Amino acid sequence: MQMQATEIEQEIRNFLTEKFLFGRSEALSDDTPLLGNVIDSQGVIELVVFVQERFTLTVDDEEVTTDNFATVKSTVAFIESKLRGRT
Amino acid sequence: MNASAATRISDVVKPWADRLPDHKAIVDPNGSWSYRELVAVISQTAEWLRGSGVRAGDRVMIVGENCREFAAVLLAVASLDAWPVPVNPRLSGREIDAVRDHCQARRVIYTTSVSIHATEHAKHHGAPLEEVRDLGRIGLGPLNENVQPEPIDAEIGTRVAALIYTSGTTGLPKGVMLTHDNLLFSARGAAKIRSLNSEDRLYGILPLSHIVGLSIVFLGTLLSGATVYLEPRFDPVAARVALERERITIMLGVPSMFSLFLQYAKMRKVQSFEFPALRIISCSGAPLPPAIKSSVEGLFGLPLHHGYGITECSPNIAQVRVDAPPRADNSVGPMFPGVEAKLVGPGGQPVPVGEVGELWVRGPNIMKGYYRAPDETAAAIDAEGWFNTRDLARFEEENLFIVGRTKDLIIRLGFNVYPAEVEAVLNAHPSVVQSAVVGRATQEDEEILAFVQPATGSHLTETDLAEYAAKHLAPYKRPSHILFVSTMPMTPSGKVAKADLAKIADDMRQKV
Repeated sequence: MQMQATEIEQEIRNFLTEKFLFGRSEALSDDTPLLGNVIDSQGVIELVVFVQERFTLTVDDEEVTTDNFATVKSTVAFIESKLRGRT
Repeated sequence: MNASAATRISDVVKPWADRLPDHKAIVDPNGSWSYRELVAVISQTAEWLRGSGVRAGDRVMIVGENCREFAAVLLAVASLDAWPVPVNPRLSGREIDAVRDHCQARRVIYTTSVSIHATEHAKHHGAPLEEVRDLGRIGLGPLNENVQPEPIDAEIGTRVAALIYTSGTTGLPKGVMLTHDNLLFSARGAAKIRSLNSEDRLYGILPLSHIVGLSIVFLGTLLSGATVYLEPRFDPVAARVALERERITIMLGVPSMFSLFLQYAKMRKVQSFEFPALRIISCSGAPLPPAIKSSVEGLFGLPLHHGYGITECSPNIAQVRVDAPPRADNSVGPMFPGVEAKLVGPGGQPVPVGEVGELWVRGPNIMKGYYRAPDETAAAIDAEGWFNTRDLARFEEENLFIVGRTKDLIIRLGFNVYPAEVEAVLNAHPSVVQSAVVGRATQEDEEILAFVQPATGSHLTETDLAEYAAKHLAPYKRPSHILFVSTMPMTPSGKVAKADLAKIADDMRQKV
């Protein structure tokens, strides 16, 4: 069954909040910059692993861009498009 | 003028604008400049700075991450005989204020195109963003009318070319005055060791606010007519793509970057990288565990050359030679050409050959001094020009090994324990990303605390690691406590912030 955008967003928010923001969910708005801000060098790998495993899809290196992972909103849009392409 | 005759750091590009005008000098995520374009941009930016009230001898802070405009402003400031003060925007507002106040900046300039942090600092400091020709949107802080320019030396080479604030890993930040001669000596020597030429493409991932990123990578590239690919921040995924797509020939990094490549390879289940153009990988800035070195060399199919330097030495002190047989140990190589060394004991006497001593160095790379800190300068450089690195080292024949820092020594049960040695053992565990060891005073003695960052997803426990350490360390060297952390506090230049860890250790006294 296809995941809803809201479910994807919640999963991403939970991951980022627990992993990088010490549980401070208020520090993460829709437009908070992720790469180079919330997510550090090692965090990029952790994010890719999480997205691949949680949503059962493959994220190519070339797709790990500041556009696709700029914010929670763009990350959700990217995952949605990958999931649509899979079906 | 040829590049080897340049007297200011901003002059190194001029010969290449004549010889290879259309050759790319600087590439960043938003575009590129050829050598001809770069010379023009430096000249126009210098005019803009002059029009903004910058005079020879003024200090101009540049807050930003690696990008073309940061580079252009830095070179333009130097071309005016003003002092560039490159600052990493990862510093807090309080830390940036402290640097601004200490250096008495005439202007603070924020290069914002690739840096969220620089943009935030510009906003915080009331610097409006304005469109500047060739540079895009630049934050220009208010003119400080109350500062005096420093006198200008008669000799161009001994004028200050960069004022770099360094925290080291302990103590308060200090402004290191590096001259044009200092920086160009280091850049030229490093370029020669690596046989840099105009066909080379260097990955510019080390910050321009960091001495290695500034002198060895950036200036070394430009005086060789090569191309530098500036990246504002490191992540192993983007780096893998860039190394392949841009056919990078040389990458210099710090050990933690290479550790992240290992994690990347594990995630992607990659046994070896295919970078046919890559000819040199080199690392410095922190101890390089032999196990990491060996794994990285297997992954890249290249020797990982190790080097050693510090900001006050522009930074080169020692460097493994590219043409030397590969080494399995973590030597930082022979002394950098033109730099002298001596090892002394606690009383100032020379140590016997092969033994550990405090490393003092002398040469054209030694800083002019700490800015507005004559006592600290006098404490660091003696009357004969020897600079005390406060690092502990030993030689094996001509090869130097760094075994710790004078201030980083733990004395336990009457024995000397070098944290670097304990860290090397812990770091060699396959489930450890990195570790940092600090001492903590007890009533009668000093105990050893190891902060350890386990690999993502590992099931390692403190007990497992303690057992492992017991196998590899004498009892007096074993950590009294092992504390797992998810991330290690780092200084802006990428070193573990041991002063922070020592404070955490002290605060935790009631718990462990």
